[in-house]
Amino acid sequence: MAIIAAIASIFVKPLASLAGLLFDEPREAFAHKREKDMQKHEAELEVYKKTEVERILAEIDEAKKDRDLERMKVFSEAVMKYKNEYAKLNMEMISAISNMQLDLRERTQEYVHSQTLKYIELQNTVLNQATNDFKKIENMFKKNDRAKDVLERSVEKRLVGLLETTETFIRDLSSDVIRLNKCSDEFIFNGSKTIDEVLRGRISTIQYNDVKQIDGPK
Amino acid sequence: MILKSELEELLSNLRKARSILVEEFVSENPDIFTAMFKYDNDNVVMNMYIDCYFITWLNYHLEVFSCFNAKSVSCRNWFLSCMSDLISKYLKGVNTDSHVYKRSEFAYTLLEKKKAAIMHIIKCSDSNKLKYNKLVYAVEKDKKLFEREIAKLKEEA
Repeated sequence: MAIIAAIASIFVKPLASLAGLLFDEPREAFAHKREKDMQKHEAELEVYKKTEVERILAEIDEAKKDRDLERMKVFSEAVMKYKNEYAKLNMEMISAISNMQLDLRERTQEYVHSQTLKYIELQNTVLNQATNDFKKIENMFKKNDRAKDVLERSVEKRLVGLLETTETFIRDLSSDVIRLNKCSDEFIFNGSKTIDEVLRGRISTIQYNDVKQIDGPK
Repeated sequence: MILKSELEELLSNLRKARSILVEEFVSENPDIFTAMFKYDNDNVVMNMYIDCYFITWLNYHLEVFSCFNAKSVSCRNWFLSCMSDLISKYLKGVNTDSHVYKRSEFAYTLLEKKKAAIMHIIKCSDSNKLKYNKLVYAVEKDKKLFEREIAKLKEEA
């Protein structure tokens, strides 16, 4: 048994050293190489990661720019559209206000005309009365100068009163016309203010809606 | 496309406005009839008063519409187009071709301002009527005093 063990040891030892030569040394070299490769790969991965992050950030930036550009484009289109609408609407509103002002002036004229006719009618009635009264005085008091004088003075007084009232009427009517025309001018002035308010409100609403449409629901 | 519910509500509001118009005339609303008798011999002022009444009535539609919540664009356009037709049909001094009256906010303000301006003319007319009545009174008084004077002098003679 001991002999067999001795003979086996003679064969096994050189075989073991041969296997060591054949397998152990390349395994170490392989592990070393693998470690090197791993380091290289990690370095490459790090570079790739960095480059990729930069690329994605640049793309996001670009997309943001595109979005801003699109936003600006739609916004300026909306501004142009509503500037045109503003101009058209402004013209129509001015025309509507002018028509109304014209109508108010016509009504003022109509009013002044109707009042004047009324006064002329009354004035004619008073004048006819006065003429008849003078005739009456002449017929009834031909020989009574005192009575004639008293009555004629009374009629004259009435006519003077009428003239004074007519003057007051003309003065009042003139001030009415001035007041009404002022009111009509204020109508135009306030109308222009209304146009501004309406259009400003309308345009800000529309632009807001347009921008909201681009941004989408939040 | 107008929603059926919106259309029904709009038509019901228009019907309500028409019924108010009829009701006020049938029941002889003093606000209207007082003026009708007050200015019955003054056509100019009477016409102005009628216009003022119609402005109030037309603006009632716009007031109702502003409280009406569910408004689609087509429903709004349809209603304002109807209003534009009504305004041009009932009011003088309104250019029918204009699209201005299809914008409720402007139409309402403009009509209210017009009403205020017409009421101003009516107010002037009222104050002038007082002066005119005073003048008629003075003429009648002078005439009577003159007749008395004649009678007195005739007696003396």
